[in-house]
Amino acid sequence: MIKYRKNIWEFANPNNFLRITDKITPFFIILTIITLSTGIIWGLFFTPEDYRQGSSVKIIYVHVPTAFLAINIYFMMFVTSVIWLIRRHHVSLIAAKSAAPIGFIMTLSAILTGAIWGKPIWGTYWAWDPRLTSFSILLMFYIGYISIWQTMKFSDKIADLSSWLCIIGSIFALMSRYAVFFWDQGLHQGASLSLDKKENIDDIFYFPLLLCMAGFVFLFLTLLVIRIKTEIQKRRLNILLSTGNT
Amino acid sequence: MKLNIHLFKYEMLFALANKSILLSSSFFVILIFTVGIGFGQTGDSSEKTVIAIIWIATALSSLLSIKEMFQNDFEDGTLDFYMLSAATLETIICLKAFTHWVTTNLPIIFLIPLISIPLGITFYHSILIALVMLISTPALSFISTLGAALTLGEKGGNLLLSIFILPTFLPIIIFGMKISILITNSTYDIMAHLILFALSLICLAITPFMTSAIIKVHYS
Repeated sequence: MIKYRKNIWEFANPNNFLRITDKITPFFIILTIITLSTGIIWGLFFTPEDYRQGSSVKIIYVHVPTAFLAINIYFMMFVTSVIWLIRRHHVSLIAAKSAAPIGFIMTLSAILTGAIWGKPIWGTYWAWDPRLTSFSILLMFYIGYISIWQTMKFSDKIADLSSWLCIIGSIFALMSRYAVFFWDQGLHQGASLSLDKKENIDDIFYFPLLLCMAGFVFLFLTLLVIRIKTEIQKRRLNILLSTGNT
Repeated sequence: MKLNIHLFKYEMLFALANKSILLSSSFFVILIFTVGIGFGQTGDSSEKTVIAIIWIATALSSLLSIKEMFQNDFEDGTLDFYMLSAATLETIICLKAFTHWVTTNLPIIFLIPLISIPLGITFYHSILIALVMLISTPALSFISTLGAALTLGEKGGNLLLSIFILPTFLPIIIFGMKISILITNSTYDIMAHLILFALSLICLAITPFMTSAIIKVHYS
């Protein structure tokens, strides 16, 4: 049983983290399966076709959640990197490290689904539109962050450097975003979802889209937790292997 | 202040003795002509293409000499003495960025009118583009210190450095390209320079502190 804890930072202890996530992960997996399957099936088979875009509108159920996650995973990495630099919690660092490949795949799939949708509707797979440009810039920063982990051997120094790289990346990704939006709004339409109801899409598309977004968020959480657990076990094994031979 | 002036003199002398001015500017000329010849085969030699080539060549040639910014000082222990001395690390970083700008970007700016006229840009436009460069390239030098600090002490970190630093040049390249294109469209206002100047000032304000924090990581 999970005891009452006074301080949120106690979850950053790898032991506590492993114990709690061992209990939570099955629920995450079940929730992912339920929301994602109902959202995708409802969206793909039980919604009408758009009067202008035809059935190609249905790619929205993959495109919007992945794009949403692509941006927010980088933001999450920024927050966890700052926490690592300030409070030195290893789980936070490992969370940033484990989230990066997932975010990379999400960015890539948002770009690819957008390209597939763009061919029949815009007539081109790729245009140097502000939103597309800023996503390709985001992809570059993901590549930079992943490459520092792939090429250098793990140490606390590399952990600090990668956190700084993440912070630099988020500053300059934001600056590039405003740079590309400075002159024109481009070809891409505005946000499909927003909290003020006025510019939302129609209710028929809205609810399956919400389900899909929840499904993708749970998918991300499941993958993240599993990756963090693997990473913690891997580091423990490495420590055991390096000290066991004495 | 006296110490800072002395350090500045030392850095400048060292950079000038290194012949890096010659190297970076000749790399710039060669890059412009190879890319220009490549574009010449496609038959597309409009002013816009030449401007894009100039911007990319500037970014790449300032990328070349980033690695040497702190590397030699780090290896022979000069940086340790800098950290122990009365001068703050941020001042040293500003000096390094400034000498990098003087030795790599300033020669390029003087070369732009010479090189762009044979490539088909009018003299007036080339002067204006050089002015845009003059305002925006300090930002490139200051951003470069971040990459130099990140890959400090890393053998063969040049490729890694390009992966980190080229995306961070993008805001400046995007704004600079847009304003340079406005120049050729003659829908151009001197006020458009202000945003580039602001970007340079932002980089001057932020990057020395971040770079000093990153350098301190290597000594922790």
